[in-house]
Amino acid sequence: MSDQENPLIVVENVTEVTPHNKALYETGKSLLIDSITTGREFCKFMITVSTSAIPIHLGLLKFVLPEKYTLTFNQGIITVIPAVIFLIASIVFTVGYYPQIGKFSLDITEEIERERNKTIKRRKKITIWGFVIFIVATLAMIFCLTYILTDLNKNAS
Amino acid sequence: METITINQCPLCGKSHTYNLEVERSFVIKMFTANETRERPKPVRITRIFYCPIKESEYQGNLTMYETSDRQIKNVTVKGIADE
Repeated sequence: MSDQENPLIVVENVTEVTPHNKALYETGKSLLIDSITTGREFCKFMITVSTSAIPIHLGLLKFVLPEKYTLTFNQGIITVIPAVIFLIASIVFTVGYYPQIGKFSLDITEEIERERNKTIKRRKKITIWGFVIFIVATLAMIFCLTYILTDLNKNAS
Repeated sequence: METITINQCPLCGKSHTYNLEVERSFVIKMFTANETRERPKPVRITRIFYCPIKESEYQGNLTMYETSDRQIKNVTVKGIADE
């Protein structure tokens, strides 16, 4: 049993950390450490996904279009839009992946915490924007393929 | 900042004093006759403490008391006070 300076705080008992609390503590520790790298790894993964979506889009178009088919001006523009949006998404994710410059002292925990929170908030904002752009690009790709297919169908009939 | 002393650390057996940051929300209200009879309610919390001698963690169960106009929101252990 222990005493206390503050009469409103009573130390009931002190023991070694229970296995359950130890596991929770370790989870909290890894959450705290991994929270910065998770966002960065997500950006890295999405750069690959966004850039590889461009050849997939062009491949699907090649698959849909008949051989030696020349796109009209309007079709050309509609075909290019999703690829450009995928490129913008990959640029946004690259900005998120880019190392952040910050100054802090290891002796001042408040400074470390402030920098950590700043980095997480900035990366969260960028990943949300990047992901929204990526979804827009995916929807544009679906629209583009549907448009080209209906256009081809119209021309054939 | 408030301090608590743990007289017998379960790891090294020595005494440690820690800083505690207690966040309280203060409620402004009319003081009635009932309020004067109000007894502080106990709030039980478990916090992890660090033993500087064994360089390991242990847990402590604390009981704090709150009233309806001084409610406890959060309690954080802010390091060792007797360093």
